[in-house]
Amino acid sequence: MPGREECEVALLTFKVAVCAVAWVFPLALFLGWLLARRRFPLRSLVETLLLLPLVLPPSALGFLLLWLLSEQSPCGRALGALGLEPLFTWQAAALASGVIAFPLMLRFCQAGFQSVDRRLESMARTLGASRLRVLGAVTLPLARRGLLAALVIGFARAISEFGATLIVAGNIPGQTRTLPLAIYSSLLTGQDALALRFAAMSIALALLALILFRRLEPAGEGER
Amino acid sequence: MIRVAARHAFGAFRLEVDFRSDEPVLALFGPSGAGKSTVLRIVAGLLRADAAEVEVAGRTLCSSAAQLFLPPEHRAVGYVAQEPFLFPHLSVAKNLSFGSRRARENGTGISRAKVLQVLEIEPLLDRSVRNLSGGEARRVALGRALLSGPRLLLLDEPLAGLDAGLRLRIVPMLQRVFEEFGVPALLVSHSRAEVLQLARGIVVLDRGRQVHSGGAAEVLNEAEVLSLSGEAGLENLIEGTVLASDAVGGVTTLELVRGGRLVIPLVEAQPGDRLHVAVRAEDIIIATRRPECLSVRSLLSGTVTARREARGGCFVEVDAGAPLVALVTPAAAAELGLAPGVAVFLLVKAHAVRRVG
Repeated sequence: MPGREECEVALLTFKVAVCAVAWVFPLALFLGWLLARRRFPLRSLVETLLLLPLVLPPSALGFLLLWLLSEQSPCGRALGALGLEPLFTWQAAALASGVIAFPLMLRFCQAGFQSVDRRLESMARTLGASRLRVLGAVTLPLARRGLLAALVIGFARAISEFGATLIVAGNIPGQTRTLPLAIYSSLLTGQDALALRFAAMSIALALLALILFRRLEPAGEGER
Repeated sequence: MIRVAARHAFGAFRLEVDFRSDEPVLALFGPSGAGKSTVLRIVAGLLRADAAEVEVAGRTLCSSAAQLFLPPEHRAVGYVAQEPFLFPHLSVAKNLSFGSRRARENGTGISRAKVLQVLEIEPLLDRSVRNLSGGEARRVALGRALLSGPRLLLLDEPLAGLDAGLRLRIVPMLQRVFEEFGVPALLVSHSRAEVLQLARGIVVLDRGRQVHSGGAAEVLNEAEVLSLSGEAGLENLIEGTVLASDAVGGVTTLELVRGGRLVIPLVEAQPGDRLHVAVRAEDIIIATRRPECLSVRSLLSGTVTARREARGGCFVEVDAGAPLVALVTPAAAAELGLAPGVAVFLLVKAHAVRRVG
């Protein structure tokens, strides 16, 4: 049976991942829609830049975030003036895993929107639906597979985030030590059995996400 | 009343039309690539033309001059595209009520019950749209448009892709829709028979240019229009009354409106029933003397009323109990001396005739 400490780690990991997905999803949704539906100048450059976190080492991104949130950057100073010092808190961990999960979520959202036949949207307009209603009644429901996939993949990526989180949030037991960090720490201190338990918990969380995904996902086209 | 004046260019294609009509059903006719569907998209508000003035029943939908462009949802135009485009995530019933909000605002008074009845949609209501047949999906799409409070219906090739049996069912439904609901319609077609069955007014387009407009029956027999319809296979539409059916012989005999008998493959109909059949111009043979010992079942006598040279042949119009157009080669027309006033016999194989209504 997992002890109290293990449960805390798992809970923290879950909280960090949910918050990461929650703050990134609206962004991925909007930008995914924009990239799928709108033509604008420098579009492919924007698309490439947004995918950059996917190919950069997470530690490099972590370093960038560290700088951004520190006293040395105007952004960090502005936050400080507001009384916010996110570095080495669980919020920083959520921010970091969100940034890492973002390109994947963006990809899936974009694919979801692209899978919707635009002529169905036109048809809805001719039937009297405003742009907003078309979005709510046609586009989003038809894109839901991609959007759900974005949520689950984003969550899975967030619970396994290590490099960027370590740099901006540290590895503080009970505060920012998420499952991947806990595995690493246990191994460093020679507690192999504990590391194994943490690994098992990671698998359980990932499985939970995937099962949830399968439950939410409607039956495939051919199965109905 | 509908008025459309539009100019639009994309790539090498130039569209230029300008027409107005008071007919309840107006057909846009022409070969494929003529720009017919483009006109519908402009009227629906799905395409912003370079310049366009569109007015329906006294309401301006767009006017470049006045810098007005109503978005599609405010046009109250029921658009039925060539494909049904039903919403795959909604049931048939939900598809039908998708436009009900605007219908309530417009108060066109089209009752859901009546639409379900005329289009025979009732049994489909609980089905998923994914497993509707082509004809069923077509009917639901039309019903959905009717129930969205339209002041004009736009029908893009309403019969395209349907087999002969389905056409026979859909044509009367369309006719009933036009009669029952009193919504004017603009329909696109490249079939002469279809236009004659469904519309009274016509606008003819060819490669983006408006070449003719007026009453369907007259305009379709104009020389330049005949040659346009010839490319897609010119069809004569003939109305007749069933005289008798011969099950053993496999034929049904029709009496034409102004005399003359036409034999067609056996159809399910009672003597006295009125039918519409179509015969392609190239399937009619002209003889100047009464031929004998032929397998051809129908022999109509008539008089040549006009001869029109066109690309690909010579259209000979004959009054033979019904106005018919036959396509012959210029050589044949010259050899037989086919000119207005000449008495001729028209031969029509039974299997060249198909029932369309």
